Amino acid sequence: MSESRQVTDDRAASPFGPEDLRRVEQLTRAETIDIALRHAELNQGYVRTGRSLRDLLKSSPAPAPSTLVFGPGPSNHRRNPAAVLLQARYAGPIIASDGALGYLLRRGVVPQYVVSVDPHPTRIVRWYGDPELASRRADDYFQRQDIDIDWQGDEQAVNQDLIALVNRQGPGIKALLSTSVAPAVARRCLEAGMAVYWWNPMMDAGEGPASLNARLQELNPVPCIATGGCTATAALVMAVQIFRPRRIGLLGFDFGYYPDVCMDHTQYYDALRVRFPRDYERYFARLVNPDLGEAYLTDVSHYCLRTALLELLDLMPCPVYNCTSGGILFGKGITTLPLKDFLGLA
Amino acid sequence: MDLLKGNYKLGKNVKVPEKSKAEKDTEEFEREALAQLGGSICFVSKPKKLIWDGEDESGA
Repeated sequence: MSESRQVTDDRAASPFGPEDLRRVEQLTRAETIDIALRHAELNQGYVRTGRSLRDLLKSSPAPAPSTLVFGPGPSNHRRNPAAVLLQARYAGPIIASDGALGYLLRRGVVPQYVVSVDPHPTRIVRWYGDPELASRRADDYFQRQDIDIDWQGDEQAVNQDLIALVNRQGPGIKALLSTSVAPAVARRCLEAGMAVYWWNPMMDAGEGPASLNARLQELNPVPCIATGGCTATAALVMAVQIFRPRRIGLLGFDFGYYPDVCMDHTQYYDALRVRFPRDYERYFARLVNPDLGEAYLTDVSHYCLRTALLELLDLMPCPVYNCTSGGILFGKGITTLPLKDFLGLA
Repeated sequence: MDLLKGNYKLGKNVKVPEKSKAEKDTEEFEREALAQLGGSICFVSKPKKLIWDGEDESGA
């Protein structure tokens, strides 16, 4: 496998052209929107009898000094911020994306909120412990990559442990579910005793009756939230809306892989290889994070999501600190800071 | 094939060749792979606000 290109400072030049980014987005747009709309229909019963995110926002607590948001990036395992939080006896609000839930619970940190967006029909429920895992078709998605390396052991045993853990802690966690998630995710959260609050993912910039947002609201009359294209960014937006904090700290927001990870062990490798069999390597790049002085591997999909987050920062009413200590999230509007220093801010 | 259902009979039996397991597996793999390329990436849009609640202007 040949070496991917290295870009030293993305502030001057993107490793991928705008055409690459548009192409990847367009390739999957139709298929994903279809499944998201289908799930929005299938979830109507849950939404009708459940709670809206609107209810939560109306009863929001007083603004918090700071809030932590956990993405699912590999730095969670490499840097282990949970240990820092436990040592510091951090008692502030934590919102986790679903991919970070297992990591946190196994290390004794219980987030107040967990967020799910991705409409994948079978994978997302795995983050909550999948009661039907034994009967599902084999899927190496969790084992071949480093989002949650705890899955790299005996996955049936890991799954059973996670089911028990989520069932034990569920009543203390609120699940913020996008109407796009598979109904199995809603079922699992409710079975685990979580209070579920529903919202729609903003699918386009439109607000008129012909927009996808309006179509979603017609199906389920709950607020539309900007997701930036991934669960971690959606969790960041939720943190702003619910806690109105003075500052936000991000953890597990890598949008890439550590330098020692091979392309074929990355999240989007299979997809890129299938779609672009002749030149899939051009959709990977090594990007130097100037704040950390280290090069990280990334791909066009992660880069697209990272760009979307940076674009949303203009709408954020408070400063955003990246405490991940790894990955490619840097640039205008982001302050890189070690977690310990963030916790020490007055 | 549903389109061929009708009020007539074909003159001879037509056998539709079954796809091999390898073909089916490949198709399934490609479908799965493409699905994971996007994840929730399709929800990337450049919104003017973080939240939109229909007629209610409760934006951030």
